[in-house]
Amino acid sequence: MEFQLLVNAAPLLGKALLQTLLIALVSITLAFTIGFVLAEISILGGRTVGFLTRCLTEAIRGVPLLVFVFLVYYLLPRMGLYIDTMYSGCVALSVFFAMYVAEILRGAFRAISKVQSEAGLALGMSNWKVQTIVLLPQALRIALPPLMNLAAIMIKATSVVSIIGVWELTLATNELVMRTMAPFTFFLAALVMYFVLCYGTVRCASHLSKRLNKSQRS
Amino acid sequence: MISVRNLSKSFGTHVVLKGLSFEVPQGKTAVLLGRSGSGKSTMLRCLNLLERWDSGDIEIDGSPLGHSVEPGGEPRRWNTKEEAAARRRIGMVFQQFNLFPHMTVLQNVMCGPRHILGQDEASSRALAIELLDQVGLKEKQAAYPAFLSGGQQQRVAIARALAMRPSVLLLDEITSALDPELVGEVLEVVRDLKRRGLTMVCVTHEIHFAQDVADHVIFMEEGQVVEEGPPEAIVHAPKTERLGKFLMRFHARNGAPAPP
Repeated sequence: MEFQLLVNAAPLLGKALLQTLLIALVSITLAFTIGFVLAEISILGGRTVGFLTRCLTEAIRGVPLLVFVFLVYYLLPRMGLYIDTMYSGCVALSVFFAMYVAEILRGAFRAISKVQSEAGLALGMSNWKVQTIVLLPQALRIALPPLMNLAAIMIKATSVVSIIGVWELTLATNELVMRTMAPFTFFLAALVMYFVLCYGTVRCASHLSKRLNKSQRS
Repeated sequence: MISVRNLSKSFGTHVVLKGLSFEVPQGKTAVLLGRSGSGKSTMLRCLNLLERWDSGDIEIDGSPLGHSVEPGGEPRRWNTKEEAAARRRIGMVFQQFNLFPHMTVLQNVMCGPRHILGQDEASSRALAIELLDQVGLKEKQAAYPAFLSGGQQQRVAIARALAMRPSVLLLDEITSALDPELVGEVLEVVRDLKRRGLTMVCVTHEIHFAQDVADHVIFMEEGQVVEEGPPEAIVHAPKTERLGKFLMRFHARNGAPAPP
């Protein structure tokens, strides 16, 4: 390992790591939001709306991420949206993973007994209040482990957007390798950084889920 | 005052309610008695619009439930907003308590005034504590429902319904899921509410419950009222053969001698 190379490249790698973190944060936030909205639409909407959202979910889940990233990259300018490549990448990641979030949340909502909604309705809650005050906190408790798992997968998936030229950890590492011809040094360094991000997310998740479980008998 | 007139309801081809009629005067407690499948729970759920009926009318305090009659027009079925507004005046307690497991006892009771009536934090909390005191659970306010006994959970559920200040309280088999030794504490709360003059409709298949709290017992079978009257008359002097059979079977199962 050429240690000196690594030290020289540290500021650049740091910047790239921050960029990856930014892409991950934006994409995860957007994916969770879109996913929640989709789940609510398929639950509260009628049969037709529910069917259409499920079709959309299944369609996008059946496509490889790489292809989807390309598709969004070429599609957005066609639709008159000329945005920075980075945002194009974020849009692709968010929409793609929102489908998984929607599925996880829909399943979690379904796992809560129907009598909980009835208890809320009987008190005089609107459907929306039943969803947000009664069901969502319970659904999140069920959905938190798979959602955090998905967040970790999304952090790793940000590397895919390097393919459309978004400058982040993977692209930066690749550039460094081209320049220095030291692939092991830099790819290992990138690997460690990805690992720290993902492991950190997983640890946060188990801490959070312990806090959410305090209402349960252990 | 609740009045039910000629109520019918079927699930597909299965007829659950066959032209049911009864009245519950203001401040009185009516008990719908009958074995499971007699339609009594469905009846109660209609009173809270959790179930919709096919024909007939329900009036609560003189105004029709479930639809409004506009001058010169057809009756218009309520939308979900109007249903929710009506349910605020009609409390309901379930067999399985159905407390919100992610909220503490206090949050469960505060939930109605705070999130539905939009009252401020302090006054909802004060009301919730007062009601928890009334059902004897003030010291459990910080506990989560999973850490309470069935009887305690059911008392919290009653307090939660009362926090909406309902004019009518519906009780659906509220002691059926409890261990026998916990039934007493819940019945005590119901008797207390009766003394305070709350209008209540209870559903049960237990004769003791009916004897204990009812002003008026309505015995139902196959979606129809078979016999109704004051509890002593219903339990000790059944006029119809069907009620007699029901009582006999109940006493046989519970080891008590059949009534004369």
